[in-house]
Formats: sequence, C-alpha cells, structure tokens
Amino acid sequence: MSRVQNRDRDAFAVLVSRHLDGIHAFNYRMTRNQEDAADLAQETFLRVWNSAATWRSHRVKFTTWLHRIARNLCIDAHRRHRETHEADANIVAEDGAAPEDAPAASRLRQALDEAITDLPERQRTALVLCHRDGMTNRDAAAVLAVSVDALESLLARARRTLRLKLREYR
Amino acid sequence: MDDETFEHFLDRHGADLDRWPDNLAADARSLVERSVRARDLFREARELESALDGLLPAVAAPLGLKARVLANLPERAAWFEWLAVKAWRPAAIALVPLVVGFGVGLNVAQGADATANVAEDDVLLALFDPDELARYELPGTDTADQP
Repeated sequence: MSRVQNRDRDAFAVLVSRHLDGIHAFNYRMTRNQEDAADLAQETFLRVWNSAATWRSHRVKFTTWLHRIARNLCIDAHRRHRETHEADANIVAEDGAAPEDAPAASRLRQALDEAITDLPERQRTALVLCHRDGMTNRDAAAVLAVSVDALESLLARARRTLRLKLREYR
Repeated sequence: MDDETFEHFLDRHGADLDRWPDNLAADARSLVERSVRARDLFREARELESALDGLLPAVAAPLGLKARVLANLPERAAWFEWLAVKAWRPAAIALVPLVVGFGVGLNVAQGADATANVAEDDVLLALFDPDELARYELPGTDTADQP
C-alpha cells in the first residue's frame, strides 16, 4: 500500500487483483445487481487510488478502510436510485405473476429477498459482512465504526427479522 | 444455558457454532442435545443461513473488470505527481523559518506598542494632576497666580 501511496501503478494492479472479488461480492450482496456491483467496485478502487495518501496503517486496517469506502458508495447509490427502483418494482408487481401462483420455495425466497432489502442499512451491512466466511465480528464492527457489542446487536435484530419472515412460510 | 438464552445467542452469533465464543458453543451443543425447543431453533437458524447463501452469494467479479478499473485511473501530469507526492514535504520544511520569523516579528511589534502606551499614559496623568504637572514645569514660568 505504501507503493500505491507513491502512485505505483503496478503495485495498484496487485492490490486490485487481491481485493476485487471481495469488494465486488460485498457490493453485489448490498445492491443485488451485477452491473451496479461492478460499477461500484470500479468507483471504490478509483477512490482508493485518489485517496491513498490519506490512509494511515496505524489508524485502520486496509480492508476495513476499503470496505468503508465501498459501503459509503453503496449508500450513495441506493439513495440515488431509490425512486427509480421503487418505480421499477411497482411495474414488476403489476406485470408479474401474483405471488400466490408461484411455488412455495420461490415465494419464500422472494419474501426473504424483500426482507433483506427492507432491513435498515446498518443491519444489512452487518449481515452481509459477517455471513458465512465473511469478516469476523471485530472487523465488521470496525467497518461500521461501532463496538463489537453494537454489531452483534445489529446482527441479532437482522437475523430475528428474517427468522420471523421464514416462520411465515413454514 | 436455557432455550431463551440460546435463541438470543443464535441471533447474535448465527447458526455456525464454530464462530461462537468457545465457552458458549460448548453450552449450546449440550443444550441442543437435550432440548427439543433448542433443536427446533437451531434447525430454523440453519435454514436461514442456507437461504442466505442463495440470496447473498459470493459472486466473483466479472471478467474484464480489473482491466476496466486500471484503464480508468486518472492520468496526472508529471509535475503534479512530483508536487503532490515528493515536493510537499520539503516545501513544508522550507516554510518553517518563514512562520517562525513572522511570529517573532509580531511579538516584537507588540512589545514596542506597549512601551509607547506607557509614555502616553504619563503625559495624560501630568495634565490632570498639578503635582505631577510641576515635575514638568519649565524654568522661568510662574504658577503662583494660578487658582
């Protein structure tokens, strides 16, 4: 990273290779859209390149800093596209098949998908960061700039909401 | 650990007991063996994790994205690179004597102002106090007929 801070493009290429899949996956899980995830990944690394000089290794881990940038961009993108997406969703709801006609598994998947989208942003981010082989709670807490206890509270609220949704379809 | 506590920790730490703190994980495994309710909660939590795998997949970046990222890095002029990366430290160091000189100059100027203010105060005092005025009386002048 110190070479990137000195504007070394080869070092930056190595950095991108190392972290691109992780950041793209994070963006995809946050936006649920391949195209948006790719655009946001590109924007994230552009910010890293432009702001590399401001990163201090003793203050924050690089991956934490990187995910903070990606998260802020996801929030901005969500704000920008909210109205468009709502309009699109209304069109799909009007044109698509009635939910009752779909198979139960598909309805459950759709309901959970909507429940994840409807989670407050901090709960959704916590869930995305910690799901399966994701970050440790400590690292995820650093990305969200909260204590580990507060992160676990966010995770608990997110999981409880989704579990209750799951129960409705069992 | 009872069922309610287990549910609480299940929401906080998820269904993968390997990610739980060691002491809690041992208690949870023991509870799951003996409590039907705990087993139901555990199964439900694992169902949720499994559903999330499908809904939050770890999708690899599309081919060509890395090339796109690298191709779109802004080009900066060489002089800007030099200024932004290499020149700012020596420039900052060179500015130190200037800042110190300015500070010293400001202090000296304030000291001179203070001396001038003291002399001004003495003249005003003499105007309003006759005794003090006598100290400044010029030879040959007579102040006896003054009231």
